[in-house]
Amino acid sequence: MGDDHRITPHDAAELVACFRAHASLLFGHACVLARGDRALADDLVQATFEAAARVWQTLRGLAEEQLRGWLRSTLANIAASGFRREAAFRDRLPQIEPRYRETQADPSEQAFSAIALERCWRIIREMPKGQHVVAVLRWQLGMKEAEIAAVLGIAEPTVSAQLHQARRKLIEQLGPDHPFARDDPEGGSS
Amino acid sequence: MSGGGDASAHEDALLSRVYQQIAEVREPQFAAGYDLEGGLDQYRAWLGEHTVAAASVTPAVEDGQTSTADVTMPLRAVATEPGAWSADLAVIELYSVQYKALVRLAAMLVRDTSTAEEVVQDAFIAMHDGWHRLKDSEKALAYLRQAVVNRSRSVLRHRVVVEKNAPKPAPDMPSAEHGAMALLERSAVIAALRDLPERQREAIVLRYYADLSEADIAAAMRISRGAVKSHTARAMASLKAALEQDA
Repeated sequence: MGDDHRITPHDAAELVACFRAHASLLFGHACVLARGDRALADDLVQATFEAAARVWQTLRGLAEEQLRGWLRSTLANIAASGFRREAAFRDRLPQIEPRYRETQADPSEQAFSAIALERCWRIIREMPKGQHVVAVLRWQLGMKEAEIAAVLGIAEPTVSAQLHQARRKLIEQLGPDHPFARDDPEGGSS
Repeated sequence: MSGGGDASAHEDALLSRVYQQIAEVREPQFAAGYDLEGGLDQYRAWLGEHTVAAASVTPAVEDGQTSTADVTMPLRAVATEPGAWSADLAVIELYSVQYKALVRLAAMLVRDTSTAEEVVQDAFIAMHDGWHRLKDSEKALAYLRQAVVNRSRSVLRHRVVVEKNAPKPAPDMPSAEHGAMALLERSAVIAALRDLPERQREAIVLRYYADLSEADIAAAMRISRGAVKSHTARAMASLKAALEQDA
């Protein structure tokens, strides 16, 4: 294994501090993406900080907020690619940019009831893996269908079909919390 | 499809908020349960292997010998003429030598013997299918181990989903009819082993039950050697504490 990136002791100290500051929340994020699978979440956190070490020269100058964004989106990328082989992942790194900022929810928007969210979480946990990955990329990370298809290396119609199924399952769970609830959520359109 | 675009755009916005709100609720909960010191240990170990200062520590055995793993001895004794080997012959030979040991390994990971056998058989089938890609027959055993660990992981993941839906009493220790398993029937140790986090359990099982070297464990689990050390050390500490409490 040729390691061209050797880390200096000084960088290592900074990286440990960075880990201490961000790992817990990042783990929380990973658990949500991994639907509660802690061992997988653990691996994702480690892989993310290993990735950070490889590009630390670029990252060290970032503001705290940007750094957090980079860590989160990198982790999401690793999760989405199904824990691709490290080498493949390393090649993709430069293309990853923080895209997380835009997906903040508007606080003035409606909050769903805890019960509806719980029902949705259960649906998410039981989704087939392919559907889950596509759904997370679409709704949690705000990617477009074409982008998802490119990232996962699958056809766009496949993405649409999987999103369609996931959408129907989830919307159903929102019940009365659904502000645009039409009278016939399924009868009219299928 | 009746007026699909607009409605689904609405729904997309809605679902984005659902995902966002679920994350807002769940992330802090999960984060609170994170073993930060454990994670740091593992990360420090990885950093240690990749820092400049540590570069001189890496063994300079590149040239000459490949004496890394004595565990592959039985295999090496068999594979004298790698070129002449057909997939069938090689797999049969490996099967006869390694099957039991691999089942024992898998049984420790998935905690029941019949699943363990399935896992190992699947691993053999996969290896047979991909034999031509396995350029070096000495890698076969490493490949098998890695396949067994990976498959055990997915069995466990699947089991989490199933158990969530239909809670049933935890399966007992697999029956002792397998002679090898009987030796392990010291239930206090098994019970303590069961409570370990998944990666720590894997490291311990590979180290002490499968008797692998640190390098082989690292390869089987696809983690660094430092991480193997830290997982093993932490697991030993918890086991010790658990067993002392019992006594």
